[in-house]
Amino acid sequence: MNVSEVKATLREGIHATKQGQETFEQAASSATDATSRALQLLHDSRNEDVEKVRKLLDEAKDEVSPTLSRFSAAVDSADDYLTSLG
Amino acid sequence: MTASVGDVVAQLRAVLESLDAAVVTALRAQADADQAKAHFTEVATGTDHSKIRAAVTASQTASEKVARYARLLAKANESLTIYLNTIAPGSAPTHQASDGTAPSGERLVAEAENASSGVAAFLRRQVKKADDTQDTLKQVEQAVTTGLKELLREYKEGPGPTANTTATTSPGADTQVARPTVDHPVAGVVMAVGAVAVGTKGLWNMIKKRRERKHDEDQARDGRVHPDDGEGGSRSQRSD
Repeated sequence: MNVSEVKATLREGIHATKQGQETFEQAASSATDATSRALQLLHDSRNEDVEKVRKLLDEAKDEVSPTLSRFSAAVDSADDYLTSLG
Repeated sequence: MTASVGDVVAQLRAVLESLDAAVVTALRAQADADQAKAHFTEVATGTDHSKIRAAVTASQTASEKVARYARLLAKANESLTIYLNTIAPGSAPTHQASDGTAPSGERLVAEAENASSGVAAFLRRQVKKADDTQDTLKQVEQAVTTGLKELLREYKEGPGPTANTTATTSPGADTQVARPTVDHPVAGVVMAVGAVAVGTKGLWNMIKKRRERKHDEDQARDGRVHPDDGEGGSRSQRSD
């Protein structure tokens, strides 16, 4: 693979990463809204399954930020490498 | 503001649908991350540059974390579905087949009701029983699997020597039957969430194969142990 091919492949990778990040943001936004509604509707329930729902949605919520940061890190690193190639 | 149970159920169903859609969207994001990783890996071949290595690692971690996120949402949906069916039986589908790659529980019941064999009646009873008792996914799987083993044992007792010898002969083929190959990422989650429906479909197919094989055996009357196609498989491997 010559330098121009490497650059083209890198750009494709960066594009795919950005697309993935955007798509994940949409998923997370939609899920976050749904989660708020669910927690509001279920706030006074002590049902065992409801407890599971709360726990799982909480865990999912905690994953959003670290996941987005991994997408960003991938883009940044690939961008840096692209720049280093001149 | 006090909402009726009906209102709450309706709103929770909307939540369920939103979360289900979010799972599908997240899986698309995962596919993008996988593709990105493939590109970066290709570039990284032959170089030790730390930046491209970091890009590979980060895209892989992104993919894994998105997958975990989707799994958590899917599991939350599973529990929410059980809860909904507890407070209002039958109000939520036990399986959300967003892209139609796997059959819904309702469709399976409909198929079973359209059929007239004892096997169809058995499956119909299992699905309805699960619905009535709000069993957990695991319990339903176990009930269907255990019950079906009994059914198949009874069913196979007629043909003679093949009845007991097929149990340990072709585990590989059985795996194929019990776990249909699914290459679509959405279907993967559908399998995880709706193992009841997918499992039932697999069992349903297995029964059909066995019926076909039995028919062939009856015609051949040679009492062979191993049909060449091995499609009937081994019931002893089903419960893994």
